[in-house]
Amino acid sequence: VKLPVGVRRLLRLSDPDRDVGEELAHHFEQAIADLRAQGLSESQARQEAVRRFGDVLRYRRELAALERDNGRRRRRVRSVESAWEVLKHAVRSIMRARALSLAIILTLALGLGTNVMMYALVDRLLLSPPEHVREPERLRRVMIETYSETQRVRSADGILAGADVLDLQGARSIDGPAAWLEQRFTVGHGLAARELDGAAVTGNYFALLGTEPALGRFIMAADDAAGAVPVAVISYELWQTEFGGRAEVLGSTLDLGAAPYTIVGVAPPRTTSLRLRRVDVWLPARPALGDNIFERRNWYAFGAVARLRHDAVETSALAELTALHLRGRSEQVETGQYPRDARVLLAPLLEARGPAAGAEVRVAKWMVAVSMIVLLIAVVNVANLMLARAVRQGREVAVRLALGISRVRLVSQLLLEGVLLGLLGGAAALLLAWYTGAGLSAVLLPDVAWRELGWGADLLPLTLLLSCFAGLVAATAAALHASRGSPGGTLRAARNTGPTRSASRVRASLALAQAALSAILLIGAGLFVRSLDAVRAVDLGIALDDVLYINPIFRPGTTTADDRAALAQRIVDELPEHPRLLAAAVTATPPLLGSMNTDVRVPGMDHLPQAGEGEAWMQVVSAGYFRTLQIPAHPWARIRAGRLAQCPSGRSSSMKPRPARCGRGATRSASACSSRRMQNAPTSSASSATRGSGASTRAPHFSSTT
Amino acid sequence: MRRPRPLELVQGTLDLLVLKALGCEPRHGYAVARWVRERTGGRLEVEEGALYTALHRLERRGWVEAEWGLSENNRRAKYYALTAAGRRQLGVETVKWTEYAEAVFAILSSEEAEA
Repeated sequence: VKLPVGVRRLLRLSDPDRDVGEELAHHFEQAIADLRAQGLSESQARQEAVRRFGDVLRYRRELAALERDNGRRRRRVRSVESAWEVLKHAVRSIMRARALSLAIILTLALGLGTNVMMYALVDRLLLSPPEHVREPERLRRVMIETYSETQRVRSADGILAGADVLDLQGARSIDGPAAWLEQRFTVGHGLAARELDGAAVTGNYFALLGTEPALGRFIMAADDAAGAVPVAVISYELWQTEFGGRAEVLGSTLDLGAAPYTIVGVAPPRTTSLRLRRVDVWLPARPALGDNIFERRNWYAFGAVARLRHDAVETSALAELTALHLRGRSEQVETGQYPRDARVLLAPLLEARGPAAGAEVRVAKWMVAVSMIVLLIAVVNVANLMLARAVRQGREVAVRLALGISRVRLVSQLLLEGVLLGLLGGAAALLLAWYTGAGLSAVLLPDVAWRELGWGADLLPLTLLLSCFAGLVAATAAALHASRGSPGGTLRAARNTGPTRSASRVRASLALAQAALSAILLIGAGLFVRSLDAVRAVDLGIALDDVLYINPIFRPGTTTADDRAALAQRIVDELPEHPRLLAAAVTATPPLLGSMNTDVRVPGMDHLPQAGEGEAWMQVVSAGYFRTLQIPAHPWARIRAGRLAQCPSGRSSSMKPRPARCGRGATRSASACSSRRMQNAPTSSASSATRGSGASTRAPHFSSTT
Repeated sequence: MRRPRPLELVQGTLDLLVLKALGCEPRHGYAVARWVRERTGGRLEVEEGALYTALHRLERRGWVEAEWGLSENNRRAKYYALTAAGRRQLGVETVKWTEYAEAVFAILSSEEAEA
């Protein structure tokens, strides 16, 4: 395609044919003039010049071909040279105003740094699957969805009872499910005792995830059988810190329960639970939790994960799993104790992608929004600073324009300056994020096992891109200012040293934007503080400030229910004798944290009026609970020593009859609160305070008041 | 006046001549041709067209750079100048040619002695 000459000139493209023609025309003109000066006639001179030159047409063709190459080369060299010039000038300009540049870099570092941290956070929660998982896109969390009559919504719950997990294991459309339960274990005795984050997993857990051990082997089906020899898999991190990374760790034991757990394998580095929680030790579920753990239908504890088979269609898989689930629950469905419209859901592996995502996702989203506003403020601030400097340098710019420097070059130099400052800010941001990022994430979302900020595949390019973009945007106002106005006008204006009117207008609007964004942040922070204050001011009707909460963690298999009850009794009896303690009581779940709810039936009364708040929440407590928590006694809420009664706890104080709810914290019968049941609380390992594990009928916990 | 029969150019000398012509100052094409003719007294037969192709070729090799400028009579002309690489090349070629010529000359003069 050949462009018109005017366009080519404008684009500074040369025309090789024209150039060669012009060069040769000059040659012949000179040659003929010289020859005429030696006395030759016009035609003789022309003839002689052509003779000396040779075959004009052939040379002309050759030269045009050579010139095409050379033209291209010249343009390349020129653009590299001018880019180099622009770069040099930009660097010089940054170096000259060192204090200002430093301020700009720090401002950008702050804005970019928060965003880098937030990206790491969002990446961990929402984007990257847990590490060491094969084909994560085919893995699904198994959830059970039921319709809540009181809230009139369907709600999904990812905490399953052991028997529900077992029901689904025959499914043709999926592999698994495998189940896991996060909880803390105590290792060692006496003063050497300490807690480890652990997980009890089914025998198929690691095989299903496709994780390869760093050393030894993982827990297998045989390890999870009734009466199997207790084995354990430890994390890479624990292996390094506690066992010095020695291979002899295999075969050594962990003093975890009644019998020692033999370490058979080490997980690869940074292996977490599927909910991204830190795990130091994995134990097989049956040896750790009790051989009958997968026969229980009323102990909601397990997270479950399944792998969709390659030939399976998700919808038909759901139908199959739902049918299996309801068949397993058929007895309860028939008696109306279990909703017949319960459905099995296959949810994304990452909990944060929902359904029923936790509060941390909301926190993360808010933090991302806030960090973006911070970046915006930083960019606007920097734009203002750069514009101010551009206005101050107006005279210099005018001189350079008058000396013939092109506007394009001036603007590109300013933009490049912005990009350079952005990149420096980005580098500082990475340092900032490197040193504070993990700590900040851990403060914001303490439950998640945060990784070190990786220089992984996408963090660096993302920072680079964001830095360049921020710098570019920040420099735009200054560049626009430089591209306007004539050299003469600027020189004249510069004499009064005042900025031009348009520049002050832009600066004023930038300052306004900055103020507006800051106001948004301030208002947000103010509202947050108010909400916090409002939450603190809520009268819960109980005095928690001086309450101590004792949550003993028993070793798996070392205590019987009677032992635990006896211990509870001892604590309750002996603690109030301490001079600084007032009262003590036993409760099944921590006040306000855990709770149970159930179907309440009063003999002779089929229906209690339905309460606005809905469900009957239940707390199992011993005598002295009300006195301990200083709850004003209600006439009928009186508990006599030696007998346990049920009482409302939490928000709701009314009861209503309704079918039992399936889900977190649900128990299946009113007898769950009988004293007998209380003392037969399930395996001690369920007593850990793992939040959200949904262990609703826990071993007794103890409260006492100082 | 009888013009001596011009000598044909030995292969590869043309580039050296052009480099040398640009050794002192940037010149345009015609000036290079004139310089060569004047220096050799017309004894070398060089087609001026070949000089131009040599100039362009040297530019492609990065030994010469070209720029449009104004000639002595205020006409637009393309000026050629040695680059740093070109100047180095001129030195190398000059040494090589001098040695070559001396060697050839030594042989020729020894033949004379035998005779």
